[in-house]
Amino acid sequence: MTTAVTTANEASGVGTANFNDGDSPPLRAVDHGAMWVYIVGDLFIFGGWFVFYLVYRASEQTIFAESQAHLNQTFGLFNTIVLLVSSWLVAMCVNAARASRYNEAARYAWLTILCGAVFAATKLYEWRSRIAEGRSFTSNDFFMFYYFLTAIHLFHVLCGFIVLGVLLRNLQVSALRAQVVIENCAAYWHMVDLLWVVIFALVYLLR
Amino acid sequence: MATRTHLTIILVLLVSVTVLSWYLGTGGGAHPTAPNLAISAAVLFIALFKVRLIMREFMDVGTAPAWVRRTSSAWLVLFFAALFVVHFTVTGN
Repeated sequence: MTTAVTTANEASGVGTANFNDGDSPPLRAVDHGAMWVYIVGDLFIFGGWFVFYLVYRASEQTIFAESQAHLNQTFGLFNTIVLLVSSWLVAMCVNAARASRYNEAARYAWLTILCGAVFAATKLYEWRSRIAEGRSFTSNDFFMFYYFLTAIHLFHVLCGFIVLGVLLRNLQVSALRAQVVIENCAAYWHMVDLLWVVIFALVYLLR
Repeated sequence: MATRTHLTIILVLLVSVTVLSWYLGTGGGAHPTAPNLAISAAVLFIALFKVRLIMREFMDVGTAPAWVRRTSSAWLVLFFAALFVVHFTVTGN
């Protein structure tokens, strides 16, 4: 059944559209404005660190390869899948919010927070295991990069909890609801996911 | 933003290539340490594919302002090109 729907906040740039029940409206994404500036800036900063990592790896191939073998790649795989699922949940959240299904969107947001918590807990357990084996930040250049890149990423995940909290509040309090805020928060979480995708490839898998 | 079915198909695709990448990188769980040019290339290409997919399908970069589309594409090209060049020419694997 086709229904005409006005989305939550026309001022955000998302207007009226026709769409099928249960599906997202065929709308353009809202202009994320300043959030895009932050995301693009962060991508370039991380990109620089990724290149530095490979430059160091090039000069110490044996040390990096041997040290990488002490990581738990299965944990890395698990963490990657958890973040991919969380990214999908946020996309589903935005999808539901665009169709004014705010209760459903809030459930997706809670599940995203749960995925973030699982990721953070797994990462802390992984660090604890490496440190218990005597492999710390100062062990060698590989572990310096491993702890640095995963820590700065985990910091983004922790900031993501605040961002997802803002998203939830926007979904749950109708007076505050603004589609542009919901989508900004979602875009931030997707950035956290895609940065981890590159870290997983470079630090855990590259040979 | 696409339909729920479309988003779920994208997730299944992302998870599938992630498992493939893990399988290649770890030698199916054997954890070899010897450098391998083909596997490194595959791991980097899969990461590039995943990042592109997340940007296009989840972040809606395709419908974002033109400067965002151009800058995010530039980031992908610039940094993945740099990663390939550094790993395959400087490393000499």
